[in-house]
Amino acid sequence: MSVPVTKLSSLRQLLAERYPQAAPTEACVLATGLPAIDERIGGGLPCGALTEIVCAAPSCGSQLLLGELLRATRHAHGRVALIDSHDSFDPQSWPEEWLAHLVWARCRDTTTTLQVADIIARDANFQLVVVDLRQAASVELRRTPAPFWYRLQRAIETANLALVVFTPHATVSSARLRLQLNRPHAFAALDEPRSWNALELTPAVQRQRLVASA
Amino acid sequence: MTPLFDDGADASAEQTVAEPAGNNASSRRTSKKSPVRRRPRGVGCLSSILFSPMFAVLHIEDFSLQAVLRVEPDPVEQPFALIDETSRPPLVIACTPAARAAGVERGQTGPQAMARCAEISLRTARPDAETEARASLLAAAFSVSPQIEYTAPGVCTMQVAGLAEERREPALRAALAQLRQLGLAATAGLAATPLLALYAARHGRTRLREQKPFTLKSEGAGRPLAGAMEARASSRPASSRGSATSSAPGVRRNGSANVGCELARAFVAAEDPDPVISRHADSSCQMFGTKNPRLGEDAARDQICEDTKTDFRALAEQPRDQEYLCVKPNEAYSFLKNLPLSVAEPPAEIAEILAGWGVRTLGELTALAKADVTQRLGPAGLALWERAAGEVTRPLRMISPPQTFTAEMTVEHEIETLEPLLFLLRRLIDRLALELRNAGFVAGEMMLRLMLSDETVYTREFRLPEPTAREEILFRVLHTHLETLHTATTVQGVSLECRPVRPLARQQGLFESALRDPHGFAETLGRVATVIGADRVGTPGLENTHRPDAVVLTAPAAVVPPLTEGGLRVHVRDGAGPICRSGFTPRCAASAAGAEGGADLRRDESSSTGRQPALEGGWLESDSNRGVKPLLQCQPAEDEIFEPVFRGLPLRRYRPPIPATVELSGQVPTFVWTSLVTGAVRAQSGPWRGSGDWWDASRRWAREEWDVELESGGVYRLLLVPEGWFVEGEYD
Repeated sequence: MSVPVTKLSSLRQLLAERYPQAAPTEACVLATGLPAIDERIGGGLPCGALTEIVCAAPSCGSQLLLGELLRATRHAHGRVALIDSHDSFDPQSWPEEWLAHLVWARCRDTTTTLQVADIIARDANFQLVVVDLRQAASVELRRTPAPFWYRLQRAIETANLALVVFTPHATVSSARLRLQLNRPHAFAALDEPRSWNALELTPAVQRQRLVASA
Repeated sequence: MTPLFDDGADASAEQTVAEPAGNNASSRRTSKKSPVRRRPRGVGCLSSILFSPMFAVLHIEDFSLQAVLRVEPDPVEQPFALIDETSRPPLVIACTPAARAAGVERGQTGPQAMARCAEISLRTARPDAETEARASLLAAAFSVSPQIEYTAPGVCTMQVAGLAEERREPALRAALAQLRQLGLAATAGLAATPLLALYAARHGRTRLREQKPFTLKSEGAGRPLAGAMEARASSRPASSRGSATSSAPGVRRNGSANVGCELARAFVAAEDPDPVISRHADSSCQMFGTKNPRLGEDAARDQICEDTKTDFRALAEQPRDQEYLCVKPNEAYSFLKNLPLSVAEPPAEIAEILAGWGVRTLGELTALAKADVTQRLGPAGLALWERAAGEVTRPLRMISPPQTFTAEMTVEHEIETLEPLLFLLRRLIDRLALELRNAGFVAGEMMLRLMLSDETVYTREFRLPEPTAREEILFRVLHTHLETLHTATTVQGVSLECRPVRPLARQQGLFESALRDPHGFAETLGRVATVIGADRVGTPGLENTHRPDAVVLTAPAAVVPPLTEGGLRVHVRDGAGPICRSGFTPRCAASAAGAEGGADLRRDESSSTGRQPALEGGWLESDSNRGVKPLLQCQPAEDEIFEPVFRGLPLRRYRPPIPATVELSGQVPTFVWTSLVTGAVRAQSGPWRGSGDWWDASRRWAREEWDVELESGGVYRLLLVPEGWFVEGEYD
């Protein structure tokens, strides 16, 4: 290495020059259909990367956001896999037509959820993979080794899919984007049209790793 | 000796073949008048073969041994020998190079072979393995031509006249490659007659090894064989010469285990450093050795025979230009002339006579005038002459391609682990896929049967997500399933059946969501199913009932149809504001619910909240699929825009519901204790009562729901059933 590396940015630049094929490039995004979110995260959820959505409060709208993702992917003729760690998805809350492109894996615990995620993330047929760990026990999530998330990240890097993980607290170490839903819905939201409620989702961006342009 | 003909071209042809003095008159029908006139080379011989090559032959050397070993995943280097159990005592009829290197030879008994090579594995001919190998050979042949004859075990003759001349060689090479993939090392020959093509397939490899044109001249005119034999014999130690004498004679042949023994396989090239001689040649050589001093050194010949037996294992690695030979009409004589006479299968009596005449090769026989040979040797001599000239042609006995695509195999040693089972299945799948492709079919379904040692049969059907004839995909389907299969006992046999269907020829719709990799998708689902269970993965569908949580999982569709008009309707009117908030009026909801005929939706007017029911679109919005009257048929109230729209928040359902203790104030919940959440109720609505299936005692349901918001945050659904209070879910 002829040029001394003094800064992290120069190291990244050096690596990108030496291994251009390994350098992440500007990837496509999957729009959520919610302008308040898309505008803040650069157009949508990054494809080929992990997005963690931390559900820090009860009734914070994680299922609402999931429904919007279902709608968006249905509109985009994509396929969605929902890996449900505690079998909590309620199809009756959604029009059946929104579910036609959904593969729902009804897991029973966190361990099998992660196993299934590892399998499904390698399938080239999905546009979106959602891992719902919202109800997973914190102790189980802490027990998950960090390399697992990096392995998952590596698995989807070459694919054109977005992988979203709903967690009760920040867990995914390799997440390129981390949003936090921390505002619970009020009781009046039960009377509002669901689209209104969705538009009111304003997650906080906790982490957003930018990708260098190719 | 005075030559009768002088063709002036071939020095060896100028010789006159004289009757040896010691020749016995062993045949009454044949004359032994000699000398016989020589005819000019190329005159008469092969004169009728003026057409282009239109017969092809695929030939598998040591067919029985290859058939057995191709279904065994043992390493190639391991010594194997095939034993003919019908002989008494059982004798070795074929062996691998490793066994040969250890001193095992044909004709030895099993104990003799084991004495020479302690590591040797003795195998017996397996009819089912040979049937499978036969089917593989035919499948490869049908990929070349539909006009096929199964000539003999390991020999398949094809009429390729319908194939363009420039496509014949590529087709045959492709067939050879397919056979290699199927675990069979084969050679191919292309010639004008079936017999000549067979000669080319059997002996072309060695001929090509010479790397010399077919018109090469023999060293030492008139004594090519002897020269070669002497040279080889002199280079060998005496011990090895002696040890070879017990090889060929006495070997009994039965059935298909004696592949190629019905037809001669042996020949010795004049200057071939590595000639190939087979069992027929052995006997001929021995005869020659005893009758003709020029040819002597039978022991050395036998040694050469044994040392240079065709190595089918090595065939797989041999250069591709040594596995195929095309004998063009103008090359036929050059090709045939140095082949040993035994190739044409002379009757013993005639062979003895010809040996006495000094005729050793086909070229030397066809150098004689056909009429003279006929006059002296009779019809058998004429037939032999024609065979030697490669002129014999005949109509092929055509066989039809298979109508069913099944393969079955039993194993010699019971299978306990996955690897050998997969190895065996791969062989079967490769063959079936080739047959399917030849017939223009693809596999729509597969049925696997495992015959277990406890005499039970494990059966499993696989419905392929997209019909295919690609062996990799078919194998992957089986592999994925077998990875998680545990049988009670070992596997004795396996059977595989592919159900053919026509390939799909359908253009996808522009707005349909098709799968990029249907087989990968099916494999993924299969792997997920092995982790969480097949009943817990799929596409959710709503049952035609109002029963809560009535959801079924179905197999994901290969093609998702496009959305209907209202599926993704934007809930904004004119882009300015929201739609009417009473998109679903209670009246409409009641109408829709009433259409079901079994459900009851009532709001308790005594509720203190006075809040309108939170209509969960899941079952109110649904279309005719659920038997609910389409909502658009409901009459909207005046000045309302009626549009399917969901209200409220979706439910995150707790399965099973969490038992709760609820404090009531009158009939209204005011405090909730559960293992998950606890707190005072800030707001509530309800009760929402529902019931259904009242006519069926086993399915009858009735419930009361409350929506509550806790002081600590969070909106939940409380459920009151006869068993008590529960938290059914969280509005999220």
